[in-house]
Amino acid sequence: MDEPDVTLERNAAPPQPAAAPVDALEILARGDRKAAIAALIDAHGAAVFGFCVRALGDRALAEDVAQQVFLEAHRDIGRFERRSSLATWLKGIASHRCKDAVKSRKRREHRLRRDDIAALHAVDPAAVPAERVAQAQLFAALEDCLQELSGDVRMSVVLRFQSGMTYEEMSEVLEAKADALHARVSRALPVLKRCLEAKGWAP
Amino acid sequence: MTEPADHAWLAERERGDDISHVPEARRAPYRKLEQLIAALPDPAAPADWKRRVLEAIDRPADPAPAVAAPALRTHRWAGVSAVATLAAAAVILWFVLRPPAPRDLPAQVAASLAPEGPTVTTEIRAGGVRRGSGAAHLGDTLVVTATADAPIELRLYGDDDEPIARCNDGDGCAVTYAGSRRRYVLEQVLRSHGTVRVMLFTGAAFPATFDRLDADVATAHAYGGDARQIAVTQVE
Repeated sequence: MDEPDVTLERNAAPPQPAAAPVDALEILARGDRKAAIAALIDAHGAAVFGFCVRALGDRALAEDVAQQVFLEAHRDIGRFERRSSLATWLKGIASHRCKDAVKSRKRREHRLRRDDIAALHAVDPAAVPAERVAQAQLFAALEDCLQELSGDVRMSVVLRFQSGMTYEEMSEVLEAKADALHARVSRALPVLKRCLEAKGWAP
Repeated sequence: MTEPADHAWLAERERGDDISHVPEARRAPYRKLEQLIAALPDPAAPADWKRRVLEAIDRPADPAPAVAAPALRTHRWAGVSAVATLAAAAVILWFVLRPPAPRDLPAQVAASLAPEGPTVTTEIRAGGVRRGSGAAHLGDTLVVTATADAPIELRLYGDDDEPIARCNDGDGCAVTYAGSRRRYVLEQVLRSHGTVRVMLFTGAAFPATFDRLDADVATAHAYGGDARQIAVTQVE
């Protein structure tokens, strides 16, 4: 698979909010906790849901876990101390809940099914340029390769490069030392590269 | 240069070290790979997902979604709200009225507290030597052994009701089978002073949450399960 000669763009999801359109904490300060959570969902819901889908490899389960994340946020946002961003705080909750969910499945963590992957990056070949079809296939191949990684490693890679977190933030979210995360990420990248190349990617 | 070597310089880079000694041709594929990961789109949640979350907020007594039993989806729980409320009240009563927490329970006493069906014993081991279920010290190992005819879950909670360890058929401990009989052995090194509560969860589904003792017990009861304190170990 040749890398599409286009600038990579997120083509299968709704537009990403550049920032929280409404400040959830301001709404909270006015006393409307539920509206604050609604604003949080608008700003970060897709990212949290996406993180859960990738961490769990199961969209239906991710719906439940992501819902639980925001229920916990509703319960605890009054105690949010602004030591991190709301996005990092939410990813921290999501990380814990996803780990719980993985454990609860009694090591039955299954790989994201091919049809689920296809659904994540579905495009209509007749409606879009060939470059975007190739890009969707590349994304699907990458999702497949990510699922080859163990859960902790996958979450680390996604938080580092997809969420753009610093190692300090990742340490807080994943409750792991930065040194361990450096090693985790640096070992994962060659594995991902090899996996993608086996699927035809030519960097 | 081989991939293990890639790992080495990638680790240097992630630590913030200078990697100018690595040829650009070696770095470029990883840069593209990272750009590709960064560009991965977040999958869109179902259209009604936000509405379901906000509706769930309006049902504060609802338990956490049972990720251990995915068939029980939150949005299908409209009927359990009252049950959950009653369960929460029962838990509060249980905490108020429960007998004083036994300390250093003899194993047989601990077993007698178990519900019908499963039997549970606890003991303390120090340096590989059994010390019965007497006082524990830092570094000792608390060993919880249970036998049951159906799946159970053992959980340990600390002083502030925080989770320490859990053990079920698939996670956290050794399980052996003899016909329908299961034997669970949970071993936990005691790393802090204070109390460790040994809890037995039974029922068709165990709460996926592992946050706080009271919340987890409420969730278990909401699903028609049971949660009982088996023993309390004091770590000196």
